Amino acid sequence: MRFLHTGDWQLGMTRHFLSPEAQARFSHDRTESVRALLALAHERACEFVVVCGDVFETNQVSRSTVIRALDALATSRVPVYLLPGNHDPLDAGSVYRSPTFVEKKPAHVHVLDDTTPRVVRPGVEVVGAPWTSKRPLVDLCASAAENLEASAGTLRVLVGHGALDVIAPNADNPALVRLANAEAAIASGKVHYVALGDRHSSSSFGSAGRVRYAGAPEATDYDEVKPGHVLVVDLERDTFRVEEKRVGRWNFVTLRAELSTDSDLDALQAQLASFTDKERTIVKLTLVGTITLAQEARLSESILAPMREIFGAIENWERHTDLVVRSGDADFESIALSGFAANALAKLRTASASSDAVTRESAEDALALLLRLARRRA
Amino acid sequence: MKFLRLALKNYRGIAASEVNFAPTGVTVVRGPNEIGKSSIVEALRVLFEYKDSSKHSDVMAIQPVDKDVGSEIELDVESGPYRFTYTKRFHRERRTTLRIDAPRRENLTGEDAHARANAILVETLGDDMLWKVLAVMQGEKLALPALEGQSQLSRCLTLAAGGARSGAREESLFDAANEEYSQYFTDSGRPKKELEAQRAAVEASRTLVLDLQTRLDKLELEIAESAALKARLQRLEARLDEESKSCARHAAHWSTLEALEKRREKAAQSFETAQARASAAIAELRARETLVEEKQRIEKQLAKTQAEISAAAPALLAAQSELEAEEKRVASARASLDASSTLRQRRARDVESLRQRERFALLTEKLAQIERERRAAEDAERVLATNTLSAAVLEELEKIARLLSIEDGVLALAAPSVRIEARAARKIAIDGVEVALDSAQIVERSVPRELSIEVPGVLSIQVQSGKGTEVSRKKRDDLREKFAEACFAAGVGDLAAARVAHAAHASAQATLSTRDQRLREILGGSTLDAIAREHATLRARIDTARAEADSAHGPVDATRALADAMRAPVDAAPSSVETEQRNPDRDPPFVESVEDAIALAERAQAAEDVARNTLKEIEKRVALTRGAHEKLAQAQRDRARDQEREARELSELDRRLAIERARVSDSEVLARKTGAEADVVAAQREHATAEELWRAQDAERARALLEGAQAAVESIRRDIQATQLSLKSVETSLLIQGELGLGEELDDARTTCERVQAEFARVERRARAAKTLFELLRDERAAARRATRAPLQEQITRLARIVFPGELAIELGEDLTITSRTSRGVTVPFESLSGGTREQLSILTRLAVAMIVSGDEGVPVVLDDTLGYTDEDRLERMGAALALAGKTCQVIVLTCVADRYRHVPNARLETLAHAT
Repeated sequence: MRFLHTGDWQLGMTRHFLSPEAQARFSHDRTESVRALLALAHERACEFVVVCGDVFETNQVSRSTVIRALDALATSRVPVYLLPGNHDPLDAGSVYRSPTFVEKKPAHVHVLDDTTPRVVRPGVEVVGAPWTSKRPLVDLCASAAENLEASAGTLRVLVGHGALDVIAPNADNPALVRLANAEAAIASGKVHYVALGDRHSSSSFGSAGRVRYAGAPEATDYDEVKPGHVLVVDLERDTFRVEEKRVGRWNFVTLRAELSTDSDLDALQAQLASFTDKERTIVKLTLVGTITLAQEARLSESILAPMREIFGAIENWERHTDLVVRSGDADFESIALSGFAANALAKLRTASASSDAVTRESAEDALALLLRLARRRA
Repeated sequence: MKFLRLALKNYRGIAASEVNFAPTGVTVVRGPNEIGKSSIVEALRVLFEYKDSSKHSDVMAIQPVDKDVGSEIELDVESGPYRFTYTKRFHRERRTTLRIDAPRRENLTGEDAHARANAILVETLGDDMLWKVLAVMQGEKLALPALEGQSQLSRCLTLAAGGARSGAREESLFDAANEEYSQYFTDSGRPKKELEAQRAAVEASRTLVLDLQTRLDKLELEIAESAALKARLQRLEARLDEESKSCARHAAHWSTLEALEKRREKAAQSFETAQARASAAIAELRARETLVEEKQRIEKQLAKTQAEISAAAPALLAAQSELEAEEKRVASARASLDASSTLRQRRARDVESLRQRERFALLTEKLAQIERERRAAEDAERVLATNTLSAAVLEELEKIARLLSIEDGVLALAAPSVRIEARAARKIAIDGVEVALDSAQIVERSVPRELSIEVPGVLSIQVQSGKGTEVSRKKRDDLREKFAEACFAAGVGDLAAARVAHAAHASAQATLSTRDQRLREILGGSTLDAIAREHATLRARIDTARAEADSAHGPVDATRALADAMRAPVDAAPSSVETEQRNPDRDPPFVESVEDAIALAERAQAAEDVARNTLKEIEKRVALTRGAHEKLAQAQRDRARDQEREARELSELDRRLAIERARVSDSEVLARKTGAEADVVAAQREHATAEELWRAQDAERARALLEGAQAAVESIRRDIQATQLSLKSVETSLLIQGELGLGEELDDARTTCERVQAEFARVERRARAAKTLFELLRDERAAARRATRAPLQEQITRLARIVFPGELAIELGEDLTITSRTSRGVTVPFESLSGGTREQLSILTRLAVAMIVSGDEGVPVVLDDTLGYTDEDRLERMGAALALAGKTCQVIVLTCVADRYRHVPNARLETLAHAT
């Protein structure tokens, strides 16, 4: 029996560092990844698709997001089981109960709105552990498995959502999925695979590896490991095989550069230029070092500004950036001012060495401007 | 730069002249008036500015009038390391030569010479040609020199101020910074609209995020509430089930207790009914008793009233009779007053009647007089109608008669006369008349016209008067005729008759002329008509009175009546009342005079007043009596009314009591009361019994439990309904809100917000940089300008203190021109200073500049014919200022009045020669 394991589509997600055009591209590609994974399911003859929660970024997504998602889902006839996760719980405001969703939902798309096993075909069942609120007080997967009876002729996939206790930083959270419980359910033969969502990195757990996260089919952040994949799972009672297939197109890259000389700038420029698929690449820069006003002008005006036009986004990672701009004598040698302008320049340079950060910054900015204006005039 | 020597040839009015200038100090060049003003400055400018081939009007102007010769200017100059002689000849035989003596010899001519000379000036003095600015031509002297942008001066000033100079590069940087600043800020330093709009956009986007966040939070709350409501609903339904069961149990127990409850309720009701009946019976009995008591009370009251009426009757009667007696007295007094009034009226009428008669007699007399006058006037008019002999007519007649007698005399004298002397007696006929003459008788005859004398039978003599008397005779005949006509016209025969007739005429005229005066006297201010009317009225009145008297006392003899009327006595018959009351002593029956009648009338008036006062007093008394009587009568009437009312009430009570007794007899009422009281006792007993039984069963508690259970079920049901309603409402709200996509919208809004914030931060940072840079440059620039201004300001002030005594301060503007002078604490703008002061200050400014740039770069100050506006005292001081400047500078003064500069110590005096 073969099915496709995915989750965390996070449809309707916006990223603040994206320009409006880039955001449009990003949103479009997220819907496209749904089409891609459905095409893959069809191509690989999967019997069904399980989506392990967080189909939508929030219950309060726009109607158009819902409509576009259902439109993408309608491109294939493969049965799809959607699980409400922590982002889109089955509460009173649930998107799955919104008139738009209910009205437009294709017949082969199912919402796992309770823990009742859904029969895909005789001998194959999908059991959901849906989130009904944002803060459940129990291990939902364990609760769902509790009511099940082991059945000799039936293969069961338990569809859950949430962090596994073994990787969660806060072990006191009652909603954590206990790996031990999951393994026990598998061991007792109640279920044969625990398909999990919530973690955007594809990863497997448990001694048999039958407890798995598929990861997000399209990357959403820098800290994800191997995002952009779905899992094609061949499951039998005794054997199983998982194949990771990439469907995503976006990359999140963290880049650290030390800058102090012109050649460092050259290197950074070259590195940025070397990226392929720049328009779907989001870079977070960590810049360290001390540069002159002229270098700073080159960095921001000649290197970063044009790159920003091409890349999905280039962010400055403020927290890790320690780039000091110092106006050096060299900056002002060429412009040779005298009289009142020379006096003003001297005052600004004194201020730029001030211990007060505000004064220093203000003076540096004014110096940079002076430099720019003087050069332009020259 | 220094000018050492200037030689002019064929320059305006100068044929040839040469002056040497002191290299340092003041040189006064004396020039005659006619050579043209400003020659030196002009010559210097022409030499340096124009090529020898120039046709410029400035060049053309220096050629001597009516002389076709070349004008030549030659100048020895020292500038920087150079010392040279520069010569130009214009107009004719043009040439330019430059002989440089130092630092090394050079000789140039033509264009090269011109170019080299200019190059040396630029090399040593810079582009600005400060010396030209310091040279003053006549007519420019009031203007301050344009010093702004003079790089030589600016350099010196900057050096003097201890700073480094700035130039075009710095100005350009300042402009660029200003431009950058202007992108973000207005001239007044406020952020521009665009910047503000961006800030507002940031705010708006923050607000949007907050708003969406709030809405989303609310949504979350509703979601939570929905879950809570569902849980509550479940709990409520469980409780409802429980309570319903409990309620059923209590109901079963209660049904067994219901019979007892009914008996208790019935007994309570019966007891209540019996009590009500007893109350009614008691009330009836009380009403009957009240009725009887009331009847007795009124009977007693009626008897009392009747006794009072009887007691009051005699007093009322006495008062009545006294009142009647008083009223009789009133009637008698009133009759007496009436009689007095009648008599008084009669007396008054008598007075009036007598007055009328007197008046009638007077008027009758006046009418008779008037009639007499009328007749006399008629007679006079008749005389005048026929007699025309007025005084004028008589005078005319007498005049004619006088003339006539004169003419007769004249004629008699003029006519010839015939003297006939008879020699013998003879009869002759003279004019046919026979005249018998005696002998020697002489007959003389005048011959008015002709005279015929016939001696019968002898001769006939015809004597004619001739033409000499013709005129006189004619005149006399005319007069005679005229007189005759006048007499005829006047109706008289001769003058004597005329005089008699005139006397009659005059008398008639006199009668007429005095008639009006006499009539006025008779009328005495009235008119004849008025008198006649009054007379007639009086006559009618008298007749009427007479007629009345006649009718009252029988016919009276008409003759007697007329006589009475003429006599005018009062003779009215006394009335009956008068007769009765007449006192013969006081009231004589007849009176003849008005005065007597008035006395009688006054006496009657007094009698009437006495009678009226008497009546008033009696009436006052009767009013008092009447009041007393009325009081008594009113009291009696009140008692009668009381009696009547009480009788009526009594009969009503009797009637009601009869009806009541007919309905229920007194004994029956009493019996009913007793019976009802017995019923109450019985019902009370049954009630107590039933209550006792009920209490013994604790039925109350059972019912309370049932009711409690029922209420609980009801309350839970209501709660369920309310909860369902709330849930429905929350779910509906969620349904609507959920479709709005608030979460996604919030994400979008946050993204936008961060973007605009970052963008704004960048812009703001750029704006801040622009502001910092621009403001710093602006301040430094201003400070630099202020600093460079200071040395010049000090130098001018130093010189000005020499010229203007007392406290003094000079203020320079941005452009280095004087803006104001403060003297003795009064600040006056430069433009408002007098022409002389302005000229002096403008010269002092030039001297100050020259002093500042003195040294190798120094330039001369050339003053052409200045200080014309300056008074003697000031001139002396200006001389001192020039001398001070002369210590370090070259000062050249051209004047046609050298005396002006006699106060300049150690001045070199040169003369610019006049044409020869």
